[in-house]
Amino acid sequence: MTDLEGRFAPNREDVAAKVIDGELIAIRLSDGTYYSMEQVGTRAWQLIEAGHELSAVARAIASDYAVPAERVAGDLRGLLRELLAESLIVPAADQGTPTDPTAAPAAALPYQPPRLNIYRDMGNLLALDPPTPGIDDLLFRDGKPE
Amino acid sequence: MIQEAAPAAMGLMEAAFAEASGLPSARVHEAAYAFAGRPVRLRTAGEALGLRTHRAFAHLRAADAGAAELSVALWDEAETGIPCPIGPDVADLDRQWIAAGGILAASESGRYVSFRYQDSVALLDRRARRIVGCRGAGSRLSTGEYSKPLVHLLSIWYHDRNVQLLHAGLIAARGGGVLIPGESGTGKSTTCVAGVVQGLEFLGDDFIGLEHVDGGFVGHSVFGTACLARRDLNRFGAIAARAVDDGIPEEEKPILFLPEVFPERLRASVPVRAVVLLRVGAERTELRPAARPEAMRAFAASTLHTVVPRPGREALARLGALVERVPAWWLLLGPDLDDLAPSLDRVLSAAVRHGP
Repeated sequence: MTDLEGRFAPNREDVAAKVIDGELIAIRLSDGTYYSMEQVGTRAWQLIEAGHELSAVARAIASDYAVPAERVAGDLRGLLRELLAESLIVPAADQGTPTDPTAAPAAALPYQPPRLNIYRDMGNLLALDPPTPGIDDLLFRDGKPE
Repeated sequence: MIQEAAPAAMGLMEAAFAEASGLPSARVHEAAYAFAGRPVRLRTAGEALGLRTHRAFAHLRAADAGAAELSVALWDEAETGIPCPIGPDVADLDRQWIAAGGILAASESGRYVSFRYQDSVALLDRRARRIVGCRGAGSRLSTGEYSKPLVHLLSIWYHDRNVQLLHAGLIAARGGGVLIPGESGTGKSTTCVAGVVQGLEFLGDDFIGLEHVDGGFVGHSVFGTACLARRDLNRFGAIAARAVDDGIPEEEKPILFLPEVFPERLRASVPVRAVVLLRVGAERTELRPAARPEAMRAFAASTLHTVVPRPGREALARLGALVERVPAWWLLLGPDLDDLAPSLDRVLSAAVRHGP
């Protein structure tokens, strides 16, 4: 699939993301939609963020879980399409050599295809109101105390 | 031209306040406070507005510490007879949003921000650290203006000092605080009031300032008020009679000014030791450990939807660091409020024992 070639990166303009206790938490700031992923999904996110292309992400996860790389790559294509559709990631320019994908600890649980959990309740609440300004819309650097 | 319009509007507001506060008949109230530990001066012109506006901050009164990091000037149009000099276009600030039932507007540079709600308007100059505003009639404030004066402009002022306003309650004991995030209707106010009634310390039921200090987190009280629906207030017996609802529309919540009811149980700032997530409707009150991602979701849900302006990436990163640092619990709320303070005390006891 040509549209999934190359590197991707978190959409830092509109997404705050953090791994907490092995769970990826991502929040789309513009509408409050909240996302989470566990295990394989979290590892995939970290590898994408580190600058790896899909094929390298698949190889690393296949190695973690001792499953065929082709199977992982198929699952990851679906995940990447979903992450792109939700604007959680964007195509990224080549940013040099990615960090070592084998640095993660050995997986303790059996392989499960990655799943993006989406909680639109916050987004729905925000959608009921007109778009409210974010603090980033009101930047005033001189406002910091001297 | 926009860049010139905002200072001109600020000048008009300053002149109008000077006129209102300089009237021989003006009833001027002036006091010094500490907001998140920073010196603040609040000056009001008009008896009704003065009595009401200072009331929500009574527990933050401080000795006058000289140069203020914020000075606030408000006047009552009806009582002083001095009209607001800027119109509904809110000072020609060119960027406007409908927010929290009013209009938030900002100059292109972000230096000037105004908020207009019904017949009240206030203008913040972030460089001069100054808010000037007027109220149509101090005797007819909405619940929001009465219980949480200037909350949206204060949110920006706090942000400029690396203090993030959260939509959460905060109560304390044993030198540590429990943050209680949650959207409206999740039991935050009832829990916080029940806690203070049963001997815990109160910092807020709705809006709290969170600051990252020396590797830890400090929660700051912003308002000393709690707003409860009448049916919930009635669960607290005699306390319900202390709630204020004069001039407040029937459909809005009465206000408890807790510095007046429990002056010895109000705190200005406290280290945050734990997070408690509420779930109503349990058969009996019970504590269970909560996962950190659950705590993060609760903070994000309540704060992104309620705090104006909406927090950005930096604030959410700070919340992520908070939930990684302090333990989180579910408090399943049963019908008996008497179980509540002991449960929260157990949370704090465990948190203090194990450290941050």
